[in-house]
Amino acid sequence: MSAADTVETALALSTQQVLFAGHAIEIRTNSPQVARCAQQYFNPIQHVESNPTASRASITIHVRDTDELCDNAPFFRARGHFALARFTRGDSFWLNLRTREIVGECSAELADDSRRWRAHIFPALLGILSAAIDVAPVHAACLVREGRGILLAGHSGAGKSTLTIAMARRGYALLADDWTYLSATEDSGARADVQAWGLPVPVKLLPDADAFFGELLAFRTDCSLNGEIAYEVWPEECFGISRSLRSAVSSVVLLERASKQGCSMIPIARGKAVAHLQAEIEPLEGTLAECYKRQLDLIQHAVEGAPCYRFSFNDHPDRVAETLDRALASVS
Amino acid sequence: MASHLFFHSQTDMMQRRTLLPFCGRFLWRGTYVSIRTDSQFVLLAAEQAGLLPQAACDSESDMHWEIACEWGGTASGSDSMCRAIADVHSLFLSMGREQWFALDLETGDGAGFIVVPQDDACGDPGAVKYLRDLTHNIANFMGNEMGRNERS
Repeated sequence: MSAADTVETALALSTQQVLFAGHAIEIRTNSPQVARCAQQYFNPIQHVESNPTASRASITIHVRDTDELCDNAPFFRARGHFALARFTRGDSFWLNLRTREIVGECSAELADDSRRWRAHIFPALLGILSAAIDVAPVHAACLVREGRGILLAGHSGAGKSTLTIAMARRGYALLADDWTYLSATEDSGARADVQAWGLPVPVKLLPDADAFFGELLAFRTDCSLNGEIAYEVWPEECFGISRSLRSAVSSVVLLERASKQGCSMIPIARGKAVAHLQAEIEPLEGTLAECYKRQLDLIQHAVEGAPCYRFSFNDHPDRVAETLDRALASVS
Repeated sequence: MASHLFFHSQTDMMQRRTLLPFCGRFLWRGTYVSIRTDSQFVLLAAEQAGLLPQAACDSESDMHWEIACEWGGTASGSDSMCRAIADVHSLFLSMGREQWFALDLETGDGAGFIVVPQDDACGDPGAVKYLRDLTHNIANFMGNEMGRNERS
């Protein structure tokens, strides 16, 4: 039998508290690089006014000497209230969702790769953790104008990211291009105010998007976490667009590719939008069943009072964005 | 999931909801352990690893473990070094890239995945090693913790 090498993860040198979707999370690490990266990544979120009482969760990251490969090799499994996430051949991130604790170890090379932490590791870990801290990640982009948040929901390939960038170039602030995190601002009961939150992640655009957005040609495509070749660019840097960090949900638009050229927007029942968003949440069972139920409730509450539409489109992104912008202005 | 970042919830890419139709109840170091799994070979391996089989699985147990199979996985189970990471509430064991087990030290609930060759027809020595590593490390850890508590 091989002897196990037990790592005591309490030897963290740096501890900081950050905010994710309004919830305080403690990050501990023995790596100055990871600490710095976390500080830079979460800094914008910390500027949001909030009064976190105690950490809802903790992330402990131990960097160790290893010569294991740092190539892209994502592996994710979950069972019961545990999950394991690996991003390369030399790292492991363990989640106990009951105790809301993440414990990870990685190589110094990965610790130094701030792009991976910002684009893949932090968002993925926080996404898996979401259910345990009463955050509902919805598969939708979110744009904000004058304090009004617009959720653009659609299945993969519906054109969310492309339309989101086209809309952001028309003056909307970008909250999220793919995943928006819904969270109650206070735990005071069923009528808590539900807000949409974003993470400062890069925008992912498929290679053909450079036909619409010439700015992309200054960047290179790369292998994204799910293996797709895509541009992953920081929208502030690439497009000069601004970010918003949170917003109430003022309307929901379900995106749908049309077979005929043109665009049209019709009102739909709120229940349809809620059902669409809820269907994208991973059903959780056993000890996590209550977490799943609260996620569904969060979606229900977030959309309450928000008019909902179906927007069908088949045209150049700029024309689609212009039509959607006008349609939203006419109904607001 | 972020989990949503790489898959759509409908497809269960983290294989969280794999059905585990087989169940065994064992006595191990004075503790009743129930194991749910999707391969009877895991239950056989548990027996070969030193857990004593007991009567009906629906009887009360102190620890509840779920072990799902990673059929035809790429990681070899038989020669994988076991690495353990512990924090206050959990013990995490990594036995190769695709084999792992996590134990909640407060509740006794545990879960993990074991790599089983696709053509597994008569048991797998890797499964026995997995169960041995698992029990060895849990016993070691709990022994260390008890020793620490006694000293303090």
